[in-house]
Amino acid sequence: MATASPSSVIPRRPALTNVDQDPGAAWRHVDWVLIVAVAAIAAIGALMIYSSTRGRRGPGTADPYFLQRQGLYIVIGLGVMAFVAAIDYRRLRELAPFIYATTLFMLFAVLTPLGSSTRGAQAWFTLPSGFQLQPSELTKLGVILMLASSCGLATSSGQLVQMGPRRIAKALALAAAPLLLIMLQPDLGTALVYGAVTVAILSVSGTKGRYLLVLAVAVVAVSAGVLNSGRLQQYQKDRLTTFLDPTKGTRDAAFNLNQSKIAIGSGGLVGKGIFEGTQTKLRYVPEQHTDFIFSVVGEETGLFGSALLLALFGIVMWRTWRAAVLANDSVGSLICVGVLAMLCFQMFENVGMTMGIMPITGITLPFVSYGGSSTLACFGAIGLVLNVHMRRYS
Amino acid sequence: MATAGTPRLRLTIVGVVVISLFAALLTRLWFLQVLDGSSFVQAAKRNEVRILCEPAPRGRIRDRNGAVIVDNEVTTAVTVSKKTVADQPDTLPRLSALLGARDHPVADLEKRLSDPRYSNLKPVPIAVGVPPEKVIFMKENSNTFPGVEAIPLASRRYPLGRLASHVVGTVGPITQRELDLRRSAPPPVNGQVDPVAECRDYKDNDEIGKTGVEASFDAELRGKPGVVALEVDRSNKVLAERRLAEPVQGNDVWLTIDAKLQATAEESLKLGMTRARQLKFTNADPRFLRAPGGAAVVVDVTDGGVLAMASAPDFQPADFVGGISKLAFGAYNDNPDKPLTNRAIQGLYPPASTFKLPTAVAGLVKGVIPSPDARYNDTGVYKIPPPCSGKCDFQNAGRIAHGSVNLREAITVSSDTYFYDVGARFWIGRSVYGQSMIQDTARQLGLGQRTGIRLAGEVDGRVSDPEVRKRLNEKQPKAFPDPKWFIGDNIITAIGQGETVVTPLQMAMEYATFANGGTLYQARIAGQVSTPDDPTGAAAVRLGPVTRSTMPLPPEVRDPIAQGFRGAVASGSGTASGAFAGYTGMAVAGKTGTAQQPAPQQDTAIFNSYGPAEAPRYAISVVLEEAGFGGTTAAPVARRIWEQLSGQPPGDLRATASAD
Repeated sequence: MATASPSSVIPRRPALTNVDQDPGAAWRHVDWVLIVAVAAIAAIGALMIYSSTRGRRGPGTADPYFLQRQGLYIVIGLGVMAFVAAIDYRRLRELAPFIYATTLFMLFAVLTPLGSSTRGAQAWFTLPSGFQLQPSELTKLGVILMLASSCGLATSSGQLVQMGPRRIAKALALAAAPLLLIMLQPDLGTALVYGAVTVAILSVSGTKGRYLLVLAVAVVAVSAGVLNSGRLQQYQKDRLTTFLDPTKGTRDAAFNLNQSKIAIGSGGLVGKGIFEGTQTKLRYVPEQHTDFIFSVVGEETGLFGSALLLALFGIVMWRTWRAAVLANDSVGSLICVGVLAMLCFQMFENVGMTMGIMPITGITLPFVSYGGSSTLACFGAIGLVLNVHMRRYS
Repeated sequence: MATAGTPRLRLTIVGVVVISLFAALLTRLWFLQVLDGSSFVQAAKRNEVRILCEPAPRGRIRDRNGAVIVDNEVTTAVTVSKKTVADQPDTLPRLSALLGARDHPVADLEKRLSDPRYSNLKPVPIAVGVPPEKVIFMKENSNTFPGVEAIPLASRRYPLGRLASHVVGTVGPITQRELDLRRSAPPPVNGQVDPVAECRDYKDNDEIGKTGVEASFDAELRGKPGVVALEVDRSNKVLAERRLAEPVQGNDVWLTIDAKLQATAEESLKLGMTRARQLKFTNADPRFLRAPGGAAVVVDVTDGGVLAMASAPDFQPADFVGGISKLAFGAYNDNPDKPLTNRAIQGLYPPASTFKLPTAVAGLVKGVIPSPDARYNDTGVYKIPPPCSGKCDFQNAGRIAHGSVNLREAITVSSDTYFYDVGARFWIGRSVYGQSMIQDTARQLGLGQRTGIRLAGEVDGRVSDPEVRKRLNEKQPKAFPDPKWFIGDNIITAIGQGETVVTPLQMAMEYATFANGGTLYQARIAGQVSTPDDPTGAAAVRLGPVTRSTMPLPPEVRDPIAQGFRGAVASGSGTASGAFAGYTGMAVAGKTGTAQQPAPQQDTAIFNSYGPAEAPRYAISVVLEEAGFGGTTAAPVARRIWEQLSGQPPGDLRATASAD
C-alpha cells in the first residue's frame, strides 16, 4: 500500500493546542513497567537487609535499624527519581557543564579534610545525625549527562555525531578527570563503573571501529599498569586476584569468597527460607547487608529467588535499552546507554563477585545493597531513563 | 556537523552483551545451587570453619580512689606447634635446655603439649614469663627452634601484694558445676550456633572468679573473648581465616574499700593478734592467748559502703594465678587457722556484751527499762526470782560488783546483771511484750541475716529465740536436745550469749544503723563499674546505696544508750577507756564484748564502735578469736584504725587490762 489513510497514521507531533488532550504530553508516556520493576527490586533488597541485620544484637532479636534507614532511602530515592524525570533532559543537557563542574568539585572536596575516611578510602562526607554521603555515587549521573551531551546530537532525527579523534579525546578527558579523583580516594570499584559508562557511551556514539580497538588496547595496558604501579593497597590487589585462585591471596580474602560461595550454593533450588540463612546469620559472610547482600538472597531464597531477582534486573535493563532505542535524539539515547552500562556493570560485578567469577571490589548491588548514596544515585539514574522515555514524542 | 547514522546497530550489540552477561550469571547460579548445591549444603552443615576464642583480659579491681589493687600483666609465653614437634621431636629437649631443665623438664613440656585443653590448630603455650633475652635467642636461632613462637599472655597481677586478699578473691579454671550454672547456651540458628555468642558464653577451660569480688563481679570483670574463624582442610591445615570479633577487656570494678585504710586495718589486726599472744588468759588459766585469727570491718554509716575489711590470717592471691598447685592449695586449705576464710562475712561469733545494744533499745521502747535513770543494784550476781529450778544464779564477768547503776552506767561499765534483769523481765512479761522482743530488735539492726554485701559465701548467722530453738531441735536433735526455751535462755540472750552468732560485718552494720538514726543499709563492697578506658571513673555506672529497712530511734531511746557507749570509751570507768588512754582523734563511742566459747577455746574479744560520736560517719567492728577481753585486745586494734580515720599516724598498739 503506497498511501495510508490519514486516520491510521500516528503523527509524531500532533498539532493540537489543547494540552490536556495532547497525546504526546510527557506524563502520558511514563514507563510504569520500569517503575514497578525497580520498586520490586528495592522491596526485595529491604527485606534482605532486614534479614541480614535484624539479629545483629544477638540471637533471637529483631533489630529494625537498617530496615528503617533503607526504607527512608527508598522513599527519598523515589522522590529524586520523580524530580529528575520532571525536568526535560534537553534542559538538563544545557545545564550539563554546570552539573559536571559541581561533580568535579564534590569529588575534589571529599579528598580534602572535609571528607572522612572509612576502610582506607577517603570517600565520604559525614553529615549531621550520623548520615554519610558518598559523592562518587551521585556524581555518576553528572558524568553520564556530560558524556551523553558531548557525544550526542540534540536533533530529533536520532542521528549521531561523527566522532573524530578530537571529539574522542575531549570525551576521554571529560571521563578521565572524575576517574582520577576517585582513584585518589582510592576507590577502585567505583572507578571501574565510570570506566564502563565511558566505554559504553563511546561505543554506541559514532566512534569508528578502529578507534574503539585502539581504546580497548589502551584500557588493558592501563589496567595492567595500575595493578603493578604500587598505588593499590595489598588488600585491593588480593581482592582483585583472589577470584582467579582462591587458595592464593590472603586468608581473609579467600575466606570471604569461599564462605559467600558456600552460602549461595547451600541455598539450593528454593533456599533455606527468609531469616533462616546460617552462613549469613553466623557472620561467616562479610558485609552481608552491603556488598555481599546477594549471598543472603542466594542462601535464603535459592535459585528461584535469585533468578527472580535477576529477572527483575533483566526487565530494568530491557526497559532502559528500549528507551535508548526509542529516544527522540541521540543525547537521550546515550543517556540511557550510560545508565544501562552503570546498572549492568554494577549488577554483573557485584553478583559475579559473590559467586567467584568476578574480582572482589567494593561495588553495591543497585537498589538492593544497604546505603543511602548508592540508592539515591540508582533511583536518579532511573529518573533519567524515564525522562528520556516519556519525552520520546516531544 | 557530520553525522554518523543512527545507533540502532550498536545498540543491538549492546543488548547482546547485556543478555550474555545475564546468561553468565544464571549459568553460574545453576552450577553453584543445583549442580554443586549438595556439596555446598554439606560444607555449610559440616561447617569446615573452626572457631578460635581468644581470651580477653579481665577488668581491673580498684579502690574507691582508683588505686589499682588487681591489675593485668602481660607476660611472654613461649608456644610450640604440635605438628612441628611431631615432625621434629628433638625440638623439645633443646627448648627445655634453653628454658632451664630444672624448671622445665622435657617430661613437663610433653605433658603440656598433650594437654587436651589446647586446640590442635593453635600453638600450645609451654612456658609463661620467659625472660626477653631467651626469647631473642630463640628468634635469632629460629632454625634450631622450628615452630616455636613467643606470644603475649595476660594474667592477674597484684601491685599491692596481699592487700584485701579476701575481698578481691581469686581466679581459677572453671569447674563443671560452675559451667553448668553459668552457661547460657545461646539458641542455635537453624541447627548451628552463632560462633560469637558461643565464644562469649562460659565454656570449658575458662578462667573465672572463684572467690571474693572476682567471683561476685565476674560478669562485669569478664572480658568478651575475641573470635577468629579458621577455614581448614581435612588435614586441619588452615586455609583461610577471618576475625569475627575483637577481644574486649572486662570492666573495672571500683571497690568502696580505701586501700590506705585497708592497709591500716590489716596491720592493726595483725599487731593486735601478736600482742594478744603475749598475754595470759586469766590468772586462773595460765595459758597464753592463742589469737589465731580475727577480723576488722570499717563501714560508712551514711551509705553502707565498706571502707575496710580485714581478715587474718590472709593469703597471697598471686599464688592462685594460672591455677594453684595441689600442694600450695593444700597448705592453705589444711591450715587449722583457715587463711582462706573471710572471717568478716564467714566467721560466726556470739556478740556477747555488744548485744546489749538491741536489749537496751527493746527495753526502752517497751518500758521494761522504765527510765534510763532508773537505778539497779549490781551485786555481781543475778538471782532468778522464785519459783526457780536448775541454774538460778547468773554472774558478772569476773564476778565484779558494780553497785548502783543506771542504763548509761550499766553500758559504760558493762554490767551483766543489769541486762540479766532486763532479759528476765522480758520473759516474765512475754504475754505483754511478745516472746522475742529483744531478738526482733536485733534483727531490725541487721543481726542474724546476711547484710546483702555482694561477696560470695556470706553466712546468715542466727539470732536465737523460742521459735528458732524449736526449729533447731527438730533439725538437729543431737546438737540442740531441748526444744523448750527457759527464762535462763532469755537472760543470757540479753547479753549476747547462747545460740546467737553473728559476723563482724553484721555487727558493723548494727552499730552503723544505731549511729545513723535507724537506717539499715545493704552493705556494699563496690561503688561503681567503669569501662577499662575510664581511669577517672567519670562515666562509671554507680552502684548507689540501698536501704533495706528503717526503724524508729527517738532521742529518748537513742541518747542514753549513746551516752553509755561514749562513756565506755571516754570515761574513767569505761571498759575501753584503757585502750583509748591518750587518744586525741575524733570522738569515738563503742561497746566491748567478751564472748565465752565452749572449752577449751578461749574467749572471743570484740569491740564495736562508731564516730564521731556527735555526728557519726564511720562504724568499726573488731573481732579477735581466742584473745580474751574485748577491751584489752580488740579495742586497741580499733583505736589504731580510728587514728588513721582522724588523719593521725596510727601509734603503737598497746593492750590495757579491762574486765569486758
